Amino acid sequence: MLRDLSCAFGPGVHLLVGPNGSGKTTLLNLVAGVLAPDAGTVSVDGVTGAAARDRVFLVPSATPAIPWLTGRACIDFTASLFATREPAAAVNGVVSRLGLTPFIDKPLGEMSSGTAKKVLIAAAFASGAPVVLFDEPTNELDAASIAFFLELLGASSRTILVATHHVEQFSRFAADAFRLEPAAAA
Amino acid sequence: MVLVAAILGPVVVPLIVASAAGFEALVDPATSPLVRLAVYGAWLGATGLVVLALREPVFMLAARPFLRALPIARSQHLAGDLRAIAVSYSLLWLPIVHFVGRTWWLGGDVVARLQATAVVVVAVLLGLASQALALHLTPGAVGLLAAAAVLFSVAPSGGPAVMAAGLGAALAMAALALWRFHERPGRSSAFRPALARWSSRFATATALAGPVAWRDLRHALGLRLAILAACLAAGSAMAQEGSFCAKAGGLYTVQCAIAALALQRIPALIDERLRQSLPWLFRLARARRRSIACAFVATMAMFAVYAGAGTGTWRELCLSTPWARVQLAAALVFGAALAVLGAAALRWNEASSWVATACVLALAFMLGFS
Repeated sequence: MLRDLSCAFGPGVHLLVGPNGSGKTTLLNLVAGVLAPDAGTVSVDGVTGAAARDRVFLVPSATPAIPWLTGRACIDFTASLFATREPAAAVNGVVSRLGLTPFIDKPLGEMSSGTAKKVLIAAAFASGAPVVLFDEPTNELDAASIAFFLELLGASSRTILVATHHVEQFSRFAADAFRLEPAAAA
Repeated sequence: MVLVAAILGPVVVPLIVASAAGFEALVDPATSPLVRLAVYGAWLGATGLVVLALREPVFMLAARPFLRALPIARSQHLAGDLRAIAVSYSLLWLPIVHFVGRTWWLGGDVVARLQATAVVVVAVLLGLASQALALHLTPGAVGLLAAAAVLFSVAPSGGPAVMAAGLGAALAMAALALWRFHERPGRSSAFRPALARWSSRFATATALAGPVAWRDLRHALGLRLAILAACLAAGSAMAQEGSFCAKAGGLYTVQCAIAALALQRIPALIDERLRQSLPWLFRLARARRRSIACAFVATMAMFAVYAGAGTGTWRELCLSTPWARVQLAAALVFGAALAVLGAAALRWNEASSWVATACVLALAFMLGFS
């Protein structure tokens, strides 16, 4: 899908923009290790393979296909996988600011898609992963949650890649946008 | 053809003979209702295992929500389910055809032949109805099906009129259960925060392996546990019979071999399911390691309980058996084989089944029959 692509991202928020089919999700999946490149390498902090994957957290655009997983289990389990996880008090603060508290013990399958997306955002924050990838993170979010999400991004010192079509929502980070053109995709 | 006949023959002939004996008991007016109920339960169990094993093609689980959304009458959905279940019985139709054919071939009183045929046909229809409702088992459906089974087991003990009325009522109850509960939308379960918190802890502690086994793989696990239970029951029956005590070591070895074969793919099934459902999370080595470890611990625990129960049965019922050391060796060897094959299945999904079967059969032969 992606050819002759070479890019590097440092700490901060980087937008990944481009039309449908330009390979934004593919690039995120390659960095996260969900897909393996046919050729070339993906390195995170100078390491490749499983060691690189373990430093990355990917928030997919779709709701997880395990409808019985509760919001709390999703956040707790995700956080438990990373040595860099955030303290419980900070995670609870994010959960509360996202308006998740009343829904946190419900299964993802019983949540609205926006609430399920918020759970994944809270899980990404809880993990404390040095590299976080968001695929269309604001698609189903309400205005207040988008504002808080942007606040979280702005306060973070991690390397964050956001694939989005809504550049206007991320105008403060637009200077650091990486554009994928269909020509790069085969 | 000769090879197929050679493989299927030893399976089909005992099946026909055993089922024919069961059907004889079913139609005999002198049979007690309790025995008749047990025979019906055995038929339901045997056909249920087949339907359970073939649940995906029979019920089209993945496509079911889409099919339900189409403008198709409920009766058509029901007819489709019943047809698919009937087809899945496959070889299990042979004993029925054999019994009914023999009943009419041998001649005799026409009323008695009609009665015998009616009893078997009603047993089959009740079984089909029960399995068609397997996806919609509410307390109401279970109650109606249980009442139909009780009526069915009592009816043949009466005269022709009582029998006709009883069998008719049993069929009516099954039809009512199908009409009332098949493809009816269920109510959403009440949300219980305390239970949800415990379930979250369980999910986290088992790295999601526990809930995925219970929620998504319970049919596959249920089938394997049913095989184990059947093996234990068969072993217990043989031990009780007494004359098999001299071969206790060999038979126990076969029991362990079957258990190792049945259980070896459980960790791979759980791992596959988690990687398919949450690829963005189970690409992490730590997540996979933890869930696989939990799946292995649970699988080995199941084998240990099974092996312990099997040893206990043989020791209790065959007191003078000289095979204690062979039993311990069999349990240890097949426990180790289970661990190795489980690890192999994680890496070589398709090929491992064949390799596992060959290895376990070779081990069983060496230990059990040498």
